[in-house]
Amino acid sequence: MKVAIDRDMCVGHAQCSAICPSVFGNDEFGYAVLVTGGEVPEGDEADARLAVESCPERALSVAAE
Amino acid sequence: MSDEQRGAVAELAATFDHNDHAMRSRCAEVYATLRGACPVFHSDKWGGFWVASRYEDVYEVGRDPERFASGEGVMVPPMGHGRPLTPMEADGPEHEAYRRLLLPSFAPAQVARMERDVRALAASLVEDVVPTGRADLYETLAKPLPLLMITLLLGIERDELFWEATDTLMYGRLSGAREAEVLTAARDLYAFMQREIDRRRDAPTDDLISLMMTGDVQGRPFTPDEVLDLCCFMLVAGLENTAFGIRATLRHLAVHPEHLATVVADPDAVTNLVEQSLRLYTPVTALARTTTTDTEVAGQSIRAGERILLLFGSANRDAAVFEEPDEFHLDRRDGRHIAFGIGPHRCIGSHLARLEIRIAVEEFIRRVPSFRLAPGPDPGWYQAGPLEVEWDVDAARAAG
Repeated sequence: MKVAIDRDMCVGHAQCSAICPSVFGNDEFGYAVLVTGGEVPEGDEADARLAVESCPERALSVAAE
Repeated sequence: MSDEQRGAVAELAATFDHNDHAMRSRCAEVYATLRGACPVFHSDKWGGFWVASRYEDVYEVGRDPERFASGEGVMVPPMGHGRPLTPMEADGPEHEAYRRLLLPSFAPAQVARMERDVRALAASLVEDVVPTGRADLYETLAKPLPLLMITLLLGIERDELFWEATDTLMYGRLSGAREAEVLTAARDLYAFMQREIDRRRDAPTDDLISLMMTGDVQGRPFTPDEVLDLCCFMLVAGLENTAFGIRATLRHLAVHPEHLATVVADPDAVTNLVEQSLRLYTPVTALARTTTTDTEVAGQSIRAGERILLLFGSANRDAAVFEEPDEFHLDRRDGRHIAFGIGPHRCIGSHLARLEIRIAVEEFIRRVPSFRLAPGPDPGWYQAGPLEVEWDVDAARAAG
């Protein structure tokens, strides 16, 4: 599974990094960044999906299953 | 819908006031009615304004600062002291510059480093009330915790002036305060802050005030007024809304012993508790924008220069986004709620506010694992003010 961030949409709610820190982090301004280039570690798929769904700005997406 | 029902809904819309405590006490019903019958409607209160009540429409308006500007003011009614609430009431490059300057100080990693301070402050405040068996948690915990934290960050001494002045600015016009009272409160607060700024001019420190003095917009340093407005709003913004959130969350536990038992047994559940509290008891019920052009929202025409309210409290209860939207789901994340706004004006202090609410709850229930409202009417979640609760001192002593 792979996820993607639309950086233009992110305003830094940081729900993604709170829910799935193995996949999402934050830069120095608090905007979302991909920790492992978007690859979701095995076992973290549900958290990654919840993180994508939890973005109020809809800045995140599942790029590949 | 009968003519009679239609008339009642039209009346509800035309007289709608998001500040009204009676409305907020039954907001589940009011918001659902409005979302269903007239999602974008006009109220005649406070000089007239439009309201977006559905999640989707709040999302659209909040994410489009070109069409919906903030610089004309976002409070309905305005605080009435005649100064912009910076950066909340800024647009364009200025807004961007304020945020770039402040965001690193409030980013998740930076806020995580504040946890130790917040916890020590909360533990000390709780320690003071545990032996009493009864306390007003608004005055003893919800208000002082954010006050102590923001003074620490700004690098200023705690002053009684802050609460009086910010109370008057936030709620003065709603409770019928005269213009002169509001202006006096603002003058005292702004004069205090100007002295703090002046003191740092030749001797900058590592606090937020010193940081805010260093900002620039596209190469032009912030003007003295821009610095002052920014510093003052940081103080105001850091106090009342977080206090409201702490109070509402503790009140929820006082009236829902089953949720209290869950979070006492599983402190990790406090995170969801805080998110659900923010969603259902949204501290900032609504903020406005001003249309920059003739436009349309959800099919409703709105002319240029009119105000439109983003009703966050209603968006957070929209069944199109949240299942069983008026229920408190301790087992669910509901991360999409927009208690901290949506779009480029998202609350800069959101991570600190979340931290303060969570720690206030954790520290209180650690010492007082069982408590209830003191006898008397339930003061409700929907207003700032006293929250009297009581507990068994012996049980608290055993927990400590």
